Amino acid sequence: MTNDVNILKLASAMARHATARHQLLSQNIANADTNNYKAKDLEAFSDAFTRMAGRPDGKLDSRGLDRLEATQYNIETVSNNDLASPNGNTVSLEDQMMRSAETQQQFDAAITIYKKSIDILRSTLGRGA
Amino acid sequence: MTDFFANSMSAAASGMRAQGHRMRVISENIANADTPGFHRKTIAFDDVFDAASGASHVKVTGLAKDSSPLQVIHDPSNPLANENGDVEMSNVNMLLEIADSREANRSYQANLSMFQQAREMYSSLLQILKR
Repeated sequence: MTNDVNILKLASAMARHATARHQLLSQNIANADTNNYKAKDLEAFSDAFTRMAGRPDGKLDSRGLDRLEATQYNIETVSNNDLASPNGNTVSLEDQMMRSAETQQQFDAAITIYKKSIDILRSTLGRGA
Repeated sequence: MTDFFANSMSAAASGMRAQGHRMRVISENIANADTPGFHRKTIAFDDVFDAASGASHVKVTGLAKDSSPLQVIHDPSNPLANENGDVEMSNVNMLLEIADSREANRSYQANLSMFQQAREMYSSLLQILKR
């Protein structure tokens, strides 16, 4: 049963990561024509996951899960300086579109996992899915 | 989580506002392409950080005049012609303005799609509550 609660926590951390990343990508796109603006991105969720796990087998215990929920994800500068515009801007709209689609997929995945876990919990209570 | 959505949307909205402003400047340039002595205007953007919401926005920092030389045409019948019969027209380059407006359009669309995406994500989050 506690596993079910953990998976809800994990799904919510994943959804939060996706929304934080989406905010960053929106800011990049808003600044697509700003001089010397460098595109930013959030570290991958899997990277934060392994960082928080801190265990050789890479698994996350419930304490690690609490850390993951409270964490501030690292912001990285996207290194595609070879694609920089003459004004020093490194935002590539195509690249940002790809990243935002990926973010939306991750968010949808997290939300779906959350919903389905609740469905399972419900059916164990005998209320049907 | 909802403040991330709000920040996403406000960043996208600031981007749309900036691109809209850029479009206005481009239209003014094109409208004045045949105005004698008109210098085309350029627009500059900058990234501003809003500490209250923790989001960064884009802001129009100012308009500047393009000081490149005006186009000179020979037209002695023009009332503005100098003693050699030359008239200084504007320095608006139509091709440049059209290319710029296309770019503004694309950037606007990109901002709009980010806005829509944030809205979709938010409504799918609300779906959990609605069940």
